[in-house]
Amino acid sequence: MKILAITACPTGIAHTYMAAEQLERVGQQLGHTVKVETQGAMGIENRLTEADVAGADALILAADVAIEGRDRFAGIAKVVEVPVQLAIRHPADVFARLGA
Amino acid sequence: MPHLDLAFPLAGGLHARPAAALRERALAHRAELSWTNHRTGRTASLRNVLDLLATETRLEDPCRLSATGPDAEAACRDLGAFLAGPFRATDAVEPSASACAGPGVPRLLARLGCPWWPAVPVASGLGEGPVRVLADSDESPDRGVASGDREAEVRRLRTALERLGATLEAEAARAAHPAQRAILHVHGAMLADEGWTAAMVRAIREAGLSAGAAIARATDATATALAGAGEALLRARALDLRGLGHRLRTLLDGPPEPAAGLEAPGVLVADLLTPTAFLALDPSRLRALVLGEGSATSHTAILARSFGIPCVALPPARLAAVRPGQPLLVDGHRGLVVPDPPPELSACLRVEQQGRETRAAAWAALARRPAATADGTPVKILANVAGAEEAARAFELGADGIGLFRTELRFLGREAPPTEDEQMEAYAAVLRAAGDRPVVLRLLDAGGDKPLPFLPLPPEANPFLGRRGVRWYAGHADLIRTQVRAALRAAPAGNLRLMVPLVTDPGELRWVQALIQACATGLGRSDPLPGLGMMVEIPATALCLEPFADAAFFSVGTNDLLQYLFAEDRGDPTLGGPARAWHPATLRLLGAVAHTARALGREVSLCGEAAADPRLLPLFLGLGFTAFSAAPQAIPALKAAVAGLDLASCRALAEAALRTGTSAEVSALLDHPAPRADLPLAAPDLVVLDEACATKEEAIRRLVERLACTGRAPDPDALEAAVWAREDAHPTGIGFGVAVPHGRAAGARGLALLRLQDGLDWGTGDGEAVRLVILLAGGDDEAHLRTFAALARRLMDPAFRAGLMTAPSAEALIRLLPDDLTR
Repeated sequence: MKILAITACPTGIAHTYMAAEQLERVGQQLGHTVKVETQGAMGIENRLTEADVAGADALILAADVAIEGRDRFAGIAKVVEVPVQLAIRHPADVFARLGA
Repeated sequence: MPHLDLAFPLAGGLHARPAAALRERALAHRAELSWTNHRTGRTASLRNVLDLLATETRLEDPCRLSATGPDAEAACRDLGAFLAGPFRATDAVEPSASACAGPGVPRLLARLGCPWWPAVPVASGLGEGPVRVLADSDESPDRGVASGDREAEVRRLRTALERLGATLEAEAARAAHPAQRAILHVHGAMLADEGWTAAMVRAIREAGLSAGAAIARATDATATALAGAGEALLRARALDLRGLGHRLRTLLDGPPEPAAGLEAPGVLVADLLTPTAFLALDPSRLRALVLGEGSATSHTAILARSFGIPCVALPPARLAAVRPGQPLLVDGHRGLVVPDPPPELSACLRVEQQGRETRAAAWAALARRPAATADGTPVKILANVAGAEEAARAFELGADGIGLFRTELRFLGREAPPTEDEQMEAYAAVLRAAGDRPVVLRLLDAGGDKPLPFLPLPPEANPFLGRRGVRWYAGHADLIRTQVRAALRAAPAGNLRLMVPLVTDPGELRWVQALIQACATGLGRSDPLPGLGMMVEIPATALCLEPFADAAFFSVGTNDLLQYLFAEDRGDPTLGGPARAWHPATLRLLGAVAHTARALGREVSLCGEAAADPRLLPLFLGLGFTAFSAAPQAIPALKAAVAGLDLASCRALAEAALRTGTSAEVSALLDHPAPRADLPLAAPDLVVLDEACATKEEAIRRLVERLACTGRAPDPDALEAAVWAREDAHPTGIGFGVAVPHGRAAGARGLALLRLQDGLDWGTGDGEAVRLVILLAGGDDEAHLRTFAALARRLMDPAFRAGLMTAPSAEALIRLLPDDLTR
């Protein structure tokens, strides 16, 4: 599957990036193509583009705060929202929730 | 009648130490001197310390000093000079490292649910032990009448007074702490108070009381009057008096009984503890001291501080509820008393206290070493002094030399100028105190604004723009020649340099140089002459410094420079005030002086009130100043501030400040100090390996302290608060036995790591035990946020985590971290 994800945490110093790392690593192990946008202290990085959205099968929102630009993903049918901690501790569970 | 009107200059009011100093100075004169406070309407003789205290004189009170008798004029002027100079140092507060009391402890108290009492913090430190109380030593005073004849009783009293006076003097001479010495001197002055002792004698002669009963009655009456006073400081003096009265009574009949002491180590709880009773205790048994509220401003409190005994004050109802033997924990810094303290709480408080002590020790060590910025630029922190005693104190506090020796104080308030020999002695004394460190002696800075009776100058409409500083030298050459001769004769005693005040034209400097040469020839001196420098206090001189290349050094006097630059009397509080010191106009002018001085190859220092402000130090360093001269008590803070700065950041700050247009904009820049750029984010001294830690609160404070004690968190409490705010949003345990608490605070940057012996519950709700805690402190710097992000990603690698969990040493652990964290 082609999966997009956004990670964001209250301070944006550590957990945003830990969650991104886990989703990329475990997603790859599970055979998915994963692109993760981080919304942290350095602002938005690895931004998800219109082209990314157009080809995506699912979206993971791993955030403990409101994310920016949520309306970009109106066209994606399959969305799961999880706390950042779940993405860090049990990333495989997050993908399981996608039915993927 | 000769008199002097003044607004009282000390922030702490006329309390016991300044009053004792005033009395001592007054005793040197035959004139009768009196003090009137127009606000309270009270008058006192300068001979009576207690009466002086009873005038309840506060800062800025309108006061009059009057003199009658033989040398009234001279006495009045001498006291005037004293009040304008050395008197101000009698109010000096001992410097201390920055305060610290983070939010972890209150959280822990709430979480553990243990009772605690808020208290008035009196003396910093942490003490724990069972409650001890002193046996009641205040025996019911002998109310009896004199058994024998009344004059014999008076003689008994006088003998006891003399013995106590001599004992106090001897005790002061061998006192271990300056505060103890000062207080014993105050006690000596109280004992010499005529009002109090006269009341004792009257009670014997007129009422027929025994000496003991007379002491008790006079003490009661005087102490009660003091206790009813409006000022807390004055009320506290009643305690001194009662202690002295008690001691006096024990001296009436031969050798005194040993005072009540502590039978075993513990926390002494006493509503009233006289300074005398405190000094009789064995400090090694005194873990902490809990006093009644009335004692917070007492001399007992000052003694507790100087002996390093943690001390707080509690309200009476609380004191009465304390049981002897009950375990008590006292935090004199926070103002906290905890009965039956749980060990987890003690552990957390100890971490805080040790951090404070480490930082205070680092401060003291810095003061003893030559100052240098973090990147190794040497900086001189010099002292402004008026005499040898002040110079000695300045060197105790870490001065690298005397940047401004004000000589005019010796000239003020006299009929005739001091003789050449007298001056020579005074200058040599300062030079001897300095050893081989430089002493910059400023030639007589008097004139229109500081008139001298032997310096007749015509009245001026505007003395501050008139014949001040060097401007009258040529017209009264004898006066200045005597001073120069005295200085040249004193020169062999040390490392002397001379300085000319208020120079406007190069000719003024050359005139003084020629005078020095002529004096040296007259004295038959062939050794090299002391270097001659000049004050830069006039904007025109500051802007056009090149013609002054003859000067051996420059010293910028900010007080006058600001006054002339802004056309504002600095004594007028309704005008610009201290903010003028960081106005961009000031900074541009100072930058020009530093630039030209460097081009001329001359040393340049900054003196004046602005030079003593650690907050402004990075600005001035950034402008190019590397020498500062300030009041002795400002020196430790300046030295500590220098060590925490790096020149590159200072230059960037100064450049930013020079581009602004108002003091407020510069102030905003100063409020956001840049983090230290010279320290790596992580280093072995930030790693705590395999230690026990009872609570999450303690773990966080430990890591915050590691950062603070290594110069990476200027405000540890702010960082701790930021970390807890993040924990409250979501606990930062990430699984795998790892927690990554983090927060941002101004000037804080770094990574501290704690590996625990036993797992700790991090409050993530899953009961997983955390064994590795990594605290990230970030400012606003993008580069290191990126570094932290990279580290966070690596923590997801099981092999990396395993390496951190098993690294055999702090050094080995640091080597596992990404390079850009440790560079």
